[in-house]
Amino acid sequence: MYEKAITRSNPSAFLFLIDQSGSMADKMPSEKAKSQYVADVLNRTLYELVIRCTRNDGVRDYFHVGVLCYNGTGVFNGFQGELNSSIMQPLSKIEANPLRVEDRLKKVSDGAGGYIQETIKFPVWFEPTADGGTPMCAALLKAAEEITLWCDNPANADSFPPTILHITDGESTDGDPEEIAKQLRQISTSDGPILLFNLHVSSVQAEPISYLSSENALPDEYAKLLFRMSSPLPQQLVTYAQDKISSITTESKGFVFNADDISIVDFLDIGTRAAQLR
Amino acid sequence: MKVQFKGKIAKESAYNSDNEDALSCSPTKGVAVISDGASESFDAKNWSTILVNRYQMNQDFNARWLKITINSYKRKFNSQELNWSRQAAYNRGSYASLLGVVEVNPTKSLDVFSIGDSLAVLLRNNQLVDTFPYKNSVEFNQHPELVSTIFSNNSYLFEDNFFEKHRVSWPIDVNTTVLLMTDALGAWSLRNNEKKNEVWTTLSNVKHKKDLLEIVEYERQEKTMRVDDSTLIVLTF
Repeated sequence: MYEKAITRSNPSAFLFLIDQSGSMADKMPSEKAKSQYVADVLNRTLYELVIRCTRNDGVRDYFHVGVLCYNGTGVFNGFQGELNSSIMQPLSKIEANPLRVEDRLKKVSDGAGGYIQETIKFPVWFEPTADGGTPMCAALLKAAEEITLWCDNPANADSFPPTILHITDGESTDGDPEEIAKQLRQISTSDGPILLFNLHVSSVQAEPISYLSSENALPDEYAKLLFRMSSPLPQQLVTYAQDKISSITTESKGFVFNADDISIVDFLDIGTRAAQLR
Repeated sequence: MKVQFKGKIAKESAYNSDNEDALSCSPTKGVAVISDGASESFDAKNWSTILVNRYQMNQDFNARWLKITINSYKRKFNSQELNWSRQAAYNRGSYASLLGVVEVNPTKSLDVFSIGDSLAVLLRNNQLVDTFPYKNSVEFNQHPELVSTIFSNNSYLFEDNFFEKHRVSWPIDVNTTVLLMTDALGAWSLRNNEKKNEVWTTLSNVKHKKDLLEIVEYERQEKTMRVDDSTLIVLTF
């Protein structure tokens, strides 16, 4: 399981599942709204994925990527414009269709021990929104529908299985999502079941709890529920993640509770390394 | 130096022309070199080709050598004309291993120079004598040093023991065979050697591309060899 090399003939997929309920407007300890911070990190993650797959001759479609958002208005495609035509999109199409490309200043080494500011182009695909309830069950069902379609496509049948990265800040308002998450985790390719990783964003100053192997140390039933909904980390991801978080073991699950700004960045970085390019 | 075999197999048969490994052999000069372009590089194929061509011309690797080689690469691009994704990928650079051997006739020896995770193997009568730079298969799990198109990322160049660490000299005679190979083949070979499986005779008997293709395809299917561009040179003396 989880051994298939990612190639253009056998691409993999990432589906980002983003809670945009009203509470995501709350500020993090860093004073930034959770929705804004998540949007920034998601744009950065998409940028990194595109760059990792960009060659002199263009962007190679090693991955298909989708963003599903959910809030009081329901479950909807997080991409707009050309990318709104379907949920899962090849990476080359994502590269070609950002909402806008901003000029941003970046500090770079001047090669003589100092730093200079350099303008870099930074694409934006995803805008923050925060509104209404948390229909997590509907969102997981829609994710299951999209991922089943992707895995049922004969071209993807032998691919490294898709990874779903779910970011939320509150409890489901449309029922218990545990059974749906369990069924979602049973969708598979010939290389193994899909990976579902869950992250809870905190607006309080609390120590993040991450990548545990047991729910015993978790503070409440909600945290335990998200833990049970999460997939174990595959071996190669454990190896990569141990460079960042030494406590991760082969028993760890892809789950973070009370995530602060750093753990959100790490979660998306580690999650999108589940599938290493060759 | 005689080149019994030189060849490479792409990681994706549907994209043969995207093979990012490069090789060059000149038996008359007694020089053979391979380079494995790192996949997550902007233009690994071009960079590995430039590296082997430059090494074929001049084997005196040092800071000046590298600066001239990087300039050859940079002349192919105008970064201001690239779109946002190509510009960002270009700015991160291209990376490749470099493994070269030079026959030194007066001393009947072979100078081996290596940066990265391509593997040189010294055999005598098909028995293993030495490997360089790695000795064990687990060493392939580490992040290798690679030659970068961003000069400041080649920090290994300025280490005191640079040449000690990156060079070795091997004695050669008529019973010597030297294999040069990129990392997927290298890791597979050392792993098999550690299991006492006969691997050196298999590789030193490769004479045609179909021989190498047969080995690589079988081992990929058995999941015992990583799916990666795979290059092999077999040298005799």
